[in-house]
Amino acid sequence: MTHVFATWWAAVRIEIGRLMEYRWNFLFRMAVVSLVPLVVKIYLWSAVFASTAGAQIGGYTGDSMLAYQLWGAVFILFVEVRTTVDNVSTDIRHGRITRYLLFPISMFEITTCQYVGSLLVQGAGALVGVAAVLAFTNAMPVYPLSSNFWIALAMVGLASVFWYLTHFVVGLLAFWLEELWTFFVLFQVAARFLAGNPIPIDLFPAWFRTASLYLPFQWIFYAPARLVMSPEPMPELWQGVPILAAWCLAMFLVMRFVWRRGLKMYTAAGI
Amino acid sequence: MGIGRYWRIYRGFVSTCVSQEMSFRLNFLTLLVLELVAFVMAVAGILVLFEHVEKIGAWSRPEFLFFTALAYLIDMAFLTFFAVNFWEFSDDLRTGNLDFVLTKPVSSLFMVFCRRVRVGGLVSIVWAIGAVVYFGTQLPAGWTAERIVWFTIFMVAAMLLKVGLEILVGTLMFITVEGEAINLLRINLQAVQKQPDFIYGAWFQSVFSFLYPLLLVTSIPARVMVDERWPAAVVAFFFLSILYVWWMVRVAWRRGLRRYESASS
Repeated sequence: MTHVFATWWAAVRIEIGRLMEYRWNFLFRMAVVSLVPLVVKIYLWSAVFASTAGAQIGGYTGDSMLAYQLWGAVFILFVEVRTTVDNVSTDIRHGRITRYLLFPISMFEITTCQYVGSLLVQGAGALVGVAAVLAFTNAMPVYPLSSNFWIALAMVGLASVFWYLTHFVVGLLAFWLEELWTFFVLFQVAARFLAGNPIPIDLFPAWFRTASLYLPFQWIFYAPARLVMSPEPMPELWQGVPILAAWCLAMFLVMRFVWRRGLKMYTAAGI
Repeated sequence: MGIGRYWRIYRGFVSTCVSQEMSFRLNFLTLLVLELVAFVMAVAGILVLFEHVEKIGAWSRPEFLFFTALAYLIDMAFLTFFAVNFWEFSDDLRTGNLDFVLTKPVSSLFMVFCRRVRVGGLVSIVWAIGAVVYFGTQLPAGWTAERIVWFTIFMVAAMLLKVGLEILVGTLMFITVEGEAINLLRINLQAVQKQPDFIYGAWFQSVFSFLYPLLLVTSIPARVMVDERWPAAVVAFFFLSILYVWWMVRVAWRRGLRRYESASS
């Protein structure tokens, strides 16, 4: 067992080393992808609140909306990890997964280790950003000893696993399909909106709120952001942990099923 | 070389792209779905927002919906006719394939940024035009013959401005060679033009109106339909910024080509 962990850790370290090799490129990407949309959202909400002459919107003040958007942007960095999982489809198409069938480590294991490596680097970058905001402003209220805080962290961890598994499954569709990037983008566009980014779920109509309770998305952005900035316990959002865990399990089973079916189709092109 | 010859070359590009796209029919369909979903979500977002507020700035729901449809139309036109070329340019720079483009007896800008057309996007453009026309009828001013003419002129001008601005950022790839980060910067900057100019703060408006006039791309054509009057100074500034941007493109492109080291040589 120790041997297995050593192999995994070696793969994680290699990925971290690879990212550090291109660290400016990685940091630039991270900054651009998170900061530009965040600035636009903050301006939009500032204009919205300026139009209400300081009145609350669905229980949000201008400050609490800013905190919501900032925390959401941080959590997104822990979930939407730039990773080599998007290369799964390329590996399948070019017949490169043959090596994983021969190696003592599976394709899923190595891709997961690479994902963890990316997560550690991106997460560290996000934490530096949070520390900077916390040190100089009061824009991101947080109650680190509350139950809300720990549940929010658990939710973000599960959301990250769900996001990864979903991308892995989409990548596996390359056994059958040629072009997959549209599926990735479609998932991302839909998931962000359904996650409450940029409009919090509680501003949506009741039918939408009810439906989104059973979907995995609001637990990625909306729920953790609301939990972490709330001084009062919010037990109505705690159910997100088992719901997300169920989605992760379901996606893992789908992944295993698709992988087995795909392997039967695999022709090892290029060998 | 005359425009007629460029047109013939362009038809050849389109014909090749049609054949390529028909080889990936499912991708063609999922792209259409993706573009429709993105638009539906943008509209849904506006509808939800205006359930809670009457106005944002001076605009109410019809103006915002029209603006969103317009932003979508500009986006679709750009995605259809130009976007893919930016990714290919990045690859060509890295692999040295740009050499082959530069040896062709036509404008290198034309060869690099007009070579690939995403034909499937034409369907989305039709939807987008439908949405612009529909939401335009909901505006107090509505469509009149005069407004249609001016709106068309401003739309063409806005596309010229948009393409120039995108190429300007794209030329940074000559410096970075690895183009993914620059393309991401380009794509994320597009979020700025998808909101009306008045939501932004003063310094942000200044930077994105004067230095890199991205805010003009959607906001100015939208004002043709929304505002009663268009100050002559604003109109003049809009058209002058197109000249300014394309002059910058020319300078940046020449400098970029001088810097290009040709990886394949």
